[in-house]
Amino acid sequence: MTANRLLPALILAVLILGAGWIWVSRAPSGAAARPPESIPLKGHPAPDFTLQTVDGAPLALADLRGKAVVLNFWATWCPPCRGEMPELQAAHETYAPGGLVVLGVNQAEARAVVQAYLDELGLTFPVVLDAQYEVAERYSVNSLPTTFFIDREGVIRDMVVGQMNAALLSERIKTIFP
Amino acid sequence: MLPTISLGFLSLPTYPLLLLLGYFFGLWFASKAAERRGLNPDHIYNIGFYAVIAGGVAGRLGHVIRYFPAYRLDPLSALSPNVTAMEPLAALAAALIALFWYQRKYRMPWPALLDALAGLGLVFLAARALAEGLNGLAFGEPTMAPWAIYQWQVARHPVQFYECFGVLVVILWFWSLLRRLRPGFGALLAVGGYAGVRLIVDAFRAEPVVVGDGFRLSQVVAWIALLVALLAFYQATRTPSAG
Repeated sequence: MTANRLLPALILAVLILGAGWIWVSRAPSGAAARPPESIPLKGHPAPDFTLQTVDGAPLALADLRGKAVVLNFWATWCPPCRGEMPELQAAHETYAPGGLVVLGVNQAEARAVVQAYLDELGLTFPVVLDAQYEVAERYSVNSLPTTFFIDREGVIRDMVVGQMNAALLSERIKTIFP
Repeated sequence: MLPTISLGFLSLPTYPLLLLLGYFFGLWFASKAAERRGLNPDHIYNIGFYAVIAGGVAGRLGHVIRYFPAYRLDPLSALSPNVTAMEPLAALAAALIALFWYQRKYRMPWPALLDALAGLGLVFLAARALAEGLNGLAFGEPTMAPWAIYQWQVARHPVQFYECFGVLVVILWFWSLLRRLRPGFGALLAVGGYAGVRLIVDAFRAEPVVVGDGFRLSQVVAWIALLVALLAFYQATRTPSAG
């Protein structure tokens, strides 16, 4: 049978050529040690930014190095964002003393509108204003809410698109704040 | 990159959308493969349906059990539409149990069934590679090649599209040979073909997991899978067909 004659040769070819290809395409020396690029994906350093808080003070993500950060992109007109705000506030109250920062990034809304919303819902975690969608673009945020979980070294450990319930939030917080 | 598609006021995320399309189109393709294997194609749709229901329910139930204190405070959140609130292993186990239960109930022959399901797997993998390409996931090494694409501000090998193209070639190969192959060989071809694609393509993927002296782990795994598939193929051709 033809297959019976051809297959041993094919297996031998795959064995030799495959090994050769793996050898040739080895990662360059030091590639494994090279730090990953700063892009908004799991396992990568979170891209840095500086924005103003609702109070007008500048806040840089880099200033939070050493603390775990829950970075939440939201807007007042977004119902799922409103739905998860109580969970974020509860997480802030529970974990802030231990060094976790819940940081809201509002999307292009007026300071007064944002402040009224925070007052209405009783939210006390820091919120910065992404007036030109600059940070949302850098983080490739295309849908609200979107939440990034950043560990103490500034590395993104997880991200969730869509409304989180308390269980999901506490599960993901554990990845950055054991 | 194209992480979302805008249709008027509607903004659809391409990653889950393509996975969903891959699953449904994969079921259709698997049903056609099942016909070629003499199986009732309705069985494939039924398996797909039961697997999704069982996987979805078990995945969420597993999440509720694991994070019961949080769900106890807000029981309605167990019905949250967020598909990431799942225990993946529980979902996978339940989907496999549904498959085994269905196969047993209708006494479906495993080799023919696996051939059909291999068609589903290949289409799903092609859709996943495309979704990764549109979302900048599993991206390629930087390159000066004229066909490079910009992902994360760097010109890179469009490695996700290489993979998608490679899997499409395997699908065509699988489809053209399926009628001539013995039952079960289609699944072997699918496994070997996909492993071959990854063995070639992963040479151009950025940030690989490496073992030993810079060897890319995914290539090593793919090489072994390809050899095992070929050896199984060879072994099976040496034994006479049951039919």
